[in-house]
Amino acid sequence: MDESRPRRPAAQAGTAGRTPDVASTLDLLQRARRGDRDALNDLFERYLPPLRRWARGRLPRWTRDLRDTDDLVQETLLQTFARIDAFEPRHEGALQAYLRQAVVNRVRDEVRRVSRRPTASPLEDQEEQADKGVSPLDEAIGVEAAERYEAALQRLRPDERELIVARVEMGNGYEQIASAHGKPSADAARMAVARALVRLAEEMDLEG
Amino acid sequence: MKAEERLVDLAASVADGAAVDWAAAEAGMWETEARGGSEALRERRIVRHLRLVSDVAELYRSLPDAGRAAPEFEPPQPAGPKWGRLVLLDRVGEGMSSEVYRAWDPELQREVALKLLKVDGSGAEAARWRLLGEARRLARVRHSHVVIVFGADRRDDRVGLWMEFVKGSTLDDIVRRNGPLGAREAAVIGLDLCSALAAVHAAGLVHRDIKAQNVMRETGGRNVLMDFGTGEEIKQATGSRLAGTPLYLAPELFARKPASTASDLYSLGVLLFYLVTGQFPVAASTFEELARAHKRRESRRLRDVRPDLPQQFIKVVERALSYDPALRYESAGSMEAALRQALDRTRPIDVAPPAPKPRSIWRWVAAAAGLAAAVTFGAVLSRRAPEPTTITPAPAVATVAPLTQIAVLPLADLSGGTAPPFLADALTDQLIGTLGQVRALRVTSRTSILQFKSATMPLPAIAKRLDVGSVLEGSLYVGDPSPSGERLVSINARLIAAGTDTQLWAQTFQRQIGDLFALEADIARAVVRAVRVALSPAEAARFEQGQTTNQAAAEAYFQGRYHLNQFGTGNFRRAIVAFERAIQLDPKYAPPYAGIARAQMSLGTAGVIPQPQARTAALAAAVRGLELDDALPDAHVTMGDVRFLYDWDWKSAEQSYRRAIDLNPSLSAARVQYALLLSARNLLKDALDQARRAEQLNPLSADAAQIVGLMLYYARDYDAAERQVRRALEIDPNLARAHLGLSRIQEAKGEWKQAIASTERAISLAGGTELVWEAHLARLRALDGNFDAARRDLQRFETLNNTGKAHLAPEYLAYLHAALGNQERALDLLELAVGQRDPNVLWLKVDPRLDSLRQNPRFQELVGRLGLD
Repeated sequence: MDESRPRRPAAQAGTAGRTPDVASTLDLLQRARRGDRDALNDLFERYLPPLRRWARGRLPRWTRDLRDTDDLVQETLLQTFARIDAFEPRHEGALQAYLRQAVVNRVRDEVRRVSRRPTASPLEDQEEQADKGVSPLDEAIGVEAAERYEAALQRLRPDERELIVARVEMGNGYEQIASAHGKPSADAARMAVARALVRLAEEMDLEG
Repeated sequence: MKAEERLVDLAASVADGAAVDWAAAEAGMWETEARGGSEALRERRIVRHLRLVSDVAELYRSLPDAGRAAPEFEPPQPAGPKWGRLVLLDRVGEGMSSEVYRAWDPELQREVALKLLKVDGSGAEAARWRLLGEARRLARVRHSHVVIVFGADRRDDRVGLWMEFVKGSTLDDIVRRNGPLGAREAAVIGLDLCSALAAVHAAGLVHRDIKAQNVMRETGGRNVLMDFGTGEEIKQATGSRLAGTPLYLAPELFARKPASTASDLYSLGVLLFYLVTGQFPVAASTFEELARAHKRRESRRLRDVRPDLPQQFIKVVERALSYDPALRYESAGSMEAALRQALDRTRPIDVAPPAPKPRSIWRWVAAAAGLAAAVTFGAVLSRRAPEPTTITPAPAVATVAPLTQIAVLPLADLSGGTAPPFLADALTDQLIGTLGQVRALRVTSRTSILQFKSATMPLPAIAKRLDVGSVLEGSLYVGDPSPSGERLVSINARLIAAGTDTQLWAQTFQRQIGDLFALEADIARAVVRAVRVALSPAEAARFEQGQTTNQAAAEAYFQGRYHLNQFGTGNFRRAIVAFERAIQLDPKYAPPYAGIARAQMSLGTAGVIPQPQARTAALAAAVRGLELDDALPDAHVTMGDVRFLYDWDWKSAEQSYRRAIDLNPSLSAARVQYALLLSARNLLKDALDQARRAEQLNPLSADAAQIVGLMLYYARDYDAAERQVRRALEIDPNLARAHLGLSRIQEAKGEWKQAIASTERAISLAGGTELVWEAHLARLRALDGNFDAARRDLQRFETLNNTGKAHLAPEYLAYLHAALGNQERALDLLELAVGQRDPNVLWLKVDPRLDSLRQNPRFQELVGRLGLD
């Protein structure tokens, strides 16, 4: 298996350009915390686009009505970068997961905050409310399938889960994934993603 | 290939985003595997799951790429009753024949205003034509201050017109809610409406219904001319029908004359009258009363109702309200120009009604004859090529300073202790410095605004005392740190036009505490826009330059500035420590170097550190600061001081001062120093000019007033000098320096007794004596004829000097010897002082105290040694 060659050159879709490495990220984080604007900009350039893309697919529509997703993601990133003193990412993937979790937490906070308020408009009936809870992902593959996908993803090993999210949801290139997840080459990263996908499909099958 | 391998291969394709023939993939699994049915089925299901994952990947790929482009999310789809495709949200207005709704256009996904006719049945057809007419008229006018029409139609048996939904209030609501506006605010609205009307007229239309209810003030300040229900083609504007709200109608319309561009301008005049008074020029409760009042030419004049308004504004409104249409402005464009001039009160303005020119009479006749095309052409023509305006002398009214003379009041700190104590002061300071770099502005110096910290005096009164046309005031609030340690700084700022006490602009600025400089630049830019000053590219660039991104460095710098502003040697030292910390945090940050240079210089002049040491330290810091940023006005001033006071290098010093003034024309300190240099060179006219400018910039500074007095003293204009120093003492009666200055003037005038009294007062105010002042007193005694006392003092000073118990600089002994008639001894001592490059003898050339020596060749030689020419 390991020696099998891909049939075509690995597609390098997604984020182009530099491949971040852990050392440079740590360095950027430290500089950003000291107030270095350039470092903060670099961090944003590196992490904001994929996180935005991810958030757009995942957030239920009604949360996106609360506030522009991009603002929310950006704000969360800003706060997270400022406070992750204690965080020592072992690899890039861990940092990405950490940032995603920060966005998820932030969304939850926002949801709680809004649910304490009376509904924006009495015109909206329950059906519409329910309708708005659907995310683009739910719409694309159906709520049930989306739940199955999500549940299976959560049952995977963290490294498998990160590989899938990085490639499928965030559209990272294989070079980047290799460097972020400690794979020797882009090809190796591609095969690791593929195997993780098969594991995911197997998990999904368990749901029936 | 094994099933497992094939699955991984397939998954890789999914991961690649490559196209997969799913049918073939499923079939392939099924056919090639000769294994048991359940296993094959499972694999087939796995393929299907992978297909699902492929859909997920596809979805993510299809999402708008995260970049600069704004995400296109579907907004909520509101429900409600519908008209055509439009969803009615709520009713926002109602007229005689129509209702206006806020509605949602689901196709274009935007809010619109929908005007629905109430009429149904038989009248619908005529109503539809009327509404279509309005839509067509609106559609012909494309202007940012005229509402944009989207469409008109009949749906579900109701006729409707939908247009841009303008969020805001009508001007009528605003006046009813808040009371009359100030002249400036009204004039700004008038400008917008004039330009809107010019576009309406240029499209060959008259509006016919200009009124406060028909103008929306959009949130954000855009004024939009709304309703066009009665607008008419100029060529159809006959006298047959009276439309519009009667109170706004021009008098000629009551006489069945046709509506015209001139009658629209009359209505605009009524609107402006209403905005500033809440009343109408012709008051009447019935239509008949109104017609009668017009016939008798009974109307109130704005100058009687609001005599407090600027004359220029009053005249523009009154000309628009002329009974005779020919006496009104020739076009909306010319009224706009006159309003613009009224806004800029520094220029004389065209308020005189035009002399009846052949062309305007012809125009009126043409209009009366219904030659609409000619009228329209005339309007367009006069808009394109405005007549040169008649320049009349500015009316003799109390002059109000132009808006570009501006005072930044101390920011109030509302944080209740959460903000660093120096922050509000430092930001105020910083704003003054930033705005001062704008050539077109005159920004009041810090010393003069300090006393208005938390003052309750009305802003116009403050403005009057500071001689400024606009006042920026604001408050600062620093939020609690968020869990992540971020803190938001909010500044509520507003700019007031002092002449009219109207708010030009108000805004809340908010940034992270790390972005203080950006926050401050935001405010500065908003101020510049509000007073309508154009920034040169260099000035605009300065707003962004030269600052640090290091928050801690910025705070340390602010703290240093705070100490430096407090004066006193302890504070100078504290300032140096803070500045050094700022540099340590950001070695490329230039302003702290300028701060160190200033503080070292001050320590030197205060005699706390030896002058050569002060010179070296100040020079090094100023040089380093200027290496990092050549545009630091403060560093140039210190550089000039070193060159002037220590090096006696006039040329370099002059260059430095000029550069500082060039960089910040509002920097009064630079002008004071430059004045001192010019006076030493006996260029007293220029020196006085600089000193006076410094005083204008710093009108409540006793020191600035005193420097002007000093220049007048050197110019031998002793009476003027005394008046000036007494002014300084009015500002600060306890300023010892000013009492001493007064004594020198009195001395020059031969009023020895008064001079002695003034000196004694200075000594008592200073809470003790200094040798220098005692020497001055001894001198005055000698001049007063009390030679014995003076000689005893002289002996005492010399003993002190000889025993090293105290030191009186040689020039002071020289002054005393000169008063006692010992010319040669005085010259010896002066030569000594010049040899030591003592800064105090720099003014030999102009100092009245040495007038008795002036004819002496040795003195002239000495003056030559200063190299002042």
